[in-house]
Amino acid sequence: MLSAVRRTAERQELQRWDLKGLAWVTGSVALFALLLFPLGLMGALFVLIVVSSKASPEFTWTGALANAAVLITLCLLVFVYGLGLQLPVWPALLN
Amino acid sequence: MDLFHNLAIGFSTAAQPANLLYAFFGCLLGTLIGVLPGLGPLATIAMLLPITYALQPDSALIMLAGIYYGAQYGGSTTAIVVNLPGESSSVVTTIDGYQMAKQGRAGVALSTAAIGSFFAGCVATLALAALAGPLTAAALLFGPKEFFALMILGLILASVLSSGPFIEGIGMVVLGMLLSLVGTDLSTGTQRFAFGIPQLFDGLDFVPLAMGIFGFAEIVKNLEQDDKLSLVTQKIANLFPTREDFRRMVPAILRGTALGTLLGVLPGGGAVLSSFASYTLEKKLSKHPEQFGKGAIEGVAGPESANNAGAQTSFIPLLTLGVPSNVVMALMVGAMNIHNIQPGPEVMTKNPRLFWGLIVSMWVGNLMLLILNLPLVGLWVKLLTIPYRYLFPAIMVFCSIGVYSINSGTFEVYEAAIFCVFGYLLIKLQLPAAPLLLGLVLGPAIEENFRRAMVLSRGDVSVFLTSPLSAALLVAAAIAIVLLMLPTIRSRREEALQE
Repeated sequence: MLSAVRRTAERQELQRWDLKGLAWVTGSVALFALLLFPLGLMGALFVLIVVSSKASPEFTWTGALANAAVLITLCLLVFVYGLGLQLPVWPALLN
Repeated sequence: MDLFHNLAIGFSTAAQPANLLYAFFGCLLGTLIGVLPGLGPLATIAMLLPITYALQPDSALIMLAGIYYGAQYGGSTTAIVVNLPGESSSVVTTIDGYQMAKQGRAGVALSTAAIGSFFAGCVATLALAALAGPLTAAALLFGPKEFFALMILGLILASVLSSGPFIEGIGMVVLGMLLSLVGTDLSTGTQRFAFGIPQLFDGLDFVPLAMGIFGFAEIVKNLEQDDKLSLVTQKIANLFPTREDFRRMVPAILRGTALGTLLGVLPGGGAVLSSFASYTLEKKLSKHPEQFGKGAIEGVAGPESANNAGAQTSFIPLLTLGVPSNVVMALMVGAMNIHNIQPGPEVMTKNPRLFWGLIVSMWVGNLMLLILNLPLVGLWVKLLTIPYRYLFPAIMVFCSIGVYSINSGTFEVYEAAIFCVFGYLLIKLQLPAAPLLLGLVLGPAIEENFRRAMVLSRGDVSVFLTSPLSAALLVAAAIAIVLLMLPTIRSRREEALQE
């Protein structure tokens, strides 16, 4: 650590930051938390999948929507019906 | 014979249909995530941790263990066929495994890896069973000061053996221990660093932290690098090694197994260190070091045996002493806590069925993995054609639901989002995250044992040095640091960790 402040220390380049990718990924997680109760699992997962897909440089709308459909079905089957986790499935308004 | 009696108890637990099913499920999942680059056992176990709440404790641990050693099998497939480590412990397998595949010997490389892993798994299971008794007996003699010294030694060794400069490793350990202070002080009831947030009164949960750093931040990192997969497209025919192959791989498998079994027990050890060390050793011992990097079968057989042996023996310190030696084991502590099992010597005496069941299940699991991996290898390779842009949202979904279900609350999800940013910062500053998590997990135990020792000695710090056992452990920790300062060892270490 001391060698870092030495005069002979090598200058180290900081790596480039991919702020866009970081924002899409972190943002989608925060949105999931925010929307889980108002929109239910269905809505929150949809937002999570579509928003996080945006982080990929190869984003396509059809791909993201198809992925969302498959993953939401899978989650319902595994977590809600399979494992019986206590999750708000539908939007709060409908209950 | 005590050992046989215990193994019989283990068999009766492991052979229950439900446990067989969960062992199979763990192995299947482990292979799956092992094959897929960018998704490791760490994130997967963290993801499944809250879900195991619904399972029996023995089934839960059997499944989670299966994921860890199963990933060692799966990782080699990707390394050999695509030249990409599916798992960080199969990084060295890419060197010679991919070359073998290019020479049309992918099948031989795959079966070498599987045979080596299976043999190593069997030996490591036996080592675990044989060492468990004596080590547990030793641990029962430990008092607070000895446990304190043992954990200090563990954390120092983990920093010494982690890649990167020692000072960074130990710095991250200390940061992790500082984070572990958050929450209610157990003996006085005072709130520490909770800022009046009720969710922090119980302390910082390490699942959101692990998920943020090893799940989400990893995704951001993976998205930055667009790696083109260079699939070996020819059909994988001829799985059988020739007689010459056997002659060359058997000694390498034996050496790799021995090395992995040994290094897995060390704190900071485990699968990754074992595989790197084994490759270096094979290259040193070989009569034809020039063949390494050009498809030497020893370069696949040694490391693949070593990583599997290391993955399994890293359970030894956890189950007998209660000290996790790497981050995956730290997560296993979390799994045990969910089921109110205190990791340490009491596991074997209070829960013999769970303890021996877990050990025997590893052998059963290795058998399943052999079947899962060799005939079905084509199926796993197909998985690699799924583009990452479909894969990572799935990881995000499973992680988010997993974090939410810890407490059925969204606070932990926000926490994970914050630690995603923090984890990305660590990646960009090239700081190791694993020691941080170890510090966080061991922090409360270190604090508690330190305080108990202080109460017993009426505040006299010198007890740590006057008790022979704790003094010996602390001296060992000091020696590890001093050795690291020696220039020759330092350059050797850098060499070993670099390859």
